[in-house]
Amino acid sequence: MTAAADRQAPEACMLTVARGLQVLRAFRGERTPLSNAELVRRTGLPKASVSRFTSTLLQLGALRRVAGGRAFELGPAPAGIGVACLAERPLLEGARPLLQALADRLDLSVALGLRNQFDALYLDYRTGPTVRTLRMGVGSLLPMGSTAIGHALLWDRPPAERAALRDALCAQAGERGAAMARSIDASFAELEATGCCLVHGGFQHGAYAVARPLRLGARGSRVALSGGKVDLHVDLAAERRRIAPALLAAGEALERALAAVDEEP
Amino acid sequence: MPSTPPPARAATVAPFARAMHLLMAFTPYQRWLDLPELQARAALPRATAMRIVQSLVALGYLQRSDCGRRYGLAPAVLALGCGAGAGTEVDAQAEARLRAFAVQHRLQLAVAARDRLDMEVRAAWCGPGACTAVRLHTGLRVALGRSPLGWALIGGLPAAERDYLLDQVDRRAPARSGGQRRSLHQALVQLERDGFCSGLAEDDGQTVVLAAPLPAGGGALQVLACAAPAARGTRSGIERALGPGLRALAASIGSAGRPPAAHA
Repeated sequence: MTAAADRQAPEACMLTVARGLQVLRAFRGERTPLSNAELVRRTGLPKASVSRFTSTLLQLGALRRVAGGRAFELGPAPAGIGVACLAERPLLEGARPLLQALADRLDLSVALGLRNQFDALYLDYRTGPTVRTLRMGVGSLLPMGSTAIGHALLWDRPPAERAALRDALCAQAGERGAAMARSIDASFAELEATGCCLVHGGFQHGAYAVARPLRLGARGSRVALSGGKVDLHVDLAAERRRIAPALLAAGEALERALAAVDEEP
Repeated sequence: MPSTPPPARAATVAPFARAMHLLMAFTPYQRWLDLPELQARAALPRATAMRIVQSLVALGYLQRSDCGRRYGLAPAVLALGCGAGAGTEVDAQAEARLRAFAVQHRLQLAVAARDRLDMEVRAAWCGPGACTAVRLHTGLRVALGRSPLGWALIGGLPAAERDYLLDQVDRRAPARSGGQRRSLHQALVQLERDGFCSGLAEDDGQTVVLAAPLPAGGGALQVLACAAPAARGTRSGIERALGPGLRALAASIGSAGRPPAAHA
């Protein structure tokens, strides 16, 4: 640590911290190893900067080298931060049994998430009895533009912010932008009419989910609840009839049960 | 005594390292810390700690308590990879039995889990004399459709999940050969009949790999696999000698009710 670094201006300090955390976030909570080149592609940062950030993260135990290769994978340090973050969270602790009951009853993967940059971030994740390996987890990041939970979170923003976010997501999607816009608009219409939306195959081939926004706790924190699974031979209309009413009711039950909890998620 | 120069270290980014130290200062037992506590835990001067804490608050990774004088981790830190490092915790009792099995049978033993369309070895043990040509080591990744590790996982899945993954395998490698399809089919038959499957390691053809589905906590599924040199005997002889024990070990560890081994 140098004296020069100690004198860094607040704006420069914030930019450096933001960039470093962006490198860690670029793993998107997944175990898949990434090379410096892939991290450059994902973050848009210069190669030399990424190299310094990965060196720093290696020394901190936040990344480790994959055996026999030049790639990196997430190390144990972020898990420690996650455990500390999730401890003593009355809203999440209160929600957990209701989420698990919903997952068990519908045999789905059920998630509670909030918006984080242009993604939906899972705060809790529960699976039904026959979901063996097709699992996400707490800390998973799902793209807002192509998932039911993302569309529900987007729809729940104030109108001006919602429109700006929708446009930004579609612009980022490049040639897939027009299809994304149609999918988001269809979800918005469905949310307006029924309170929830279904998205099929937007994020992962064969995956579908139904989601609804909700306000959690005395502070009305904006989160969304989703339930979904993977099935190549799904009858979507039947699944919508099965899942949507249960999800809407579970959301109302969550809001009621946690209305007095004066905390952020 | 002459002083020894410190070992060369790769370039680090000091403000970012400090920010990480501040995030790592929190524990499950102390959700909120004030600035002096953070400063002490991260060993930083007060002004430096303040500047970085302010950056982390502005970026949404720290939040202020209601009184405004203490700080806590914000949910955004969960996006930094909290779930990925939590794969395959094998409890101490199970680990002792796995290690004993590897020692008793002088083989390599591994627990593997699926990551996308690969199987990844999450933990491995080596019996005496079995480490000379390591085939199963922590971090090893093999394609889901091309090794007993993947076949055992596929065989243990419900039909919808199995169909989905095989469809994904075909999409990734449309030219999946007739031989690969046949190997998978034979493995599924063997799993149904014997509770384990086997094959030769693809890279050397000299190592017999046996694998059995390993039920994990929370309904997740992993695989228990072992590797033995083909020089020990015929493949069917190795199967008879090791297969039933491997299947029984997987079943007993799997039914012991361990905590969820996949993501939190």
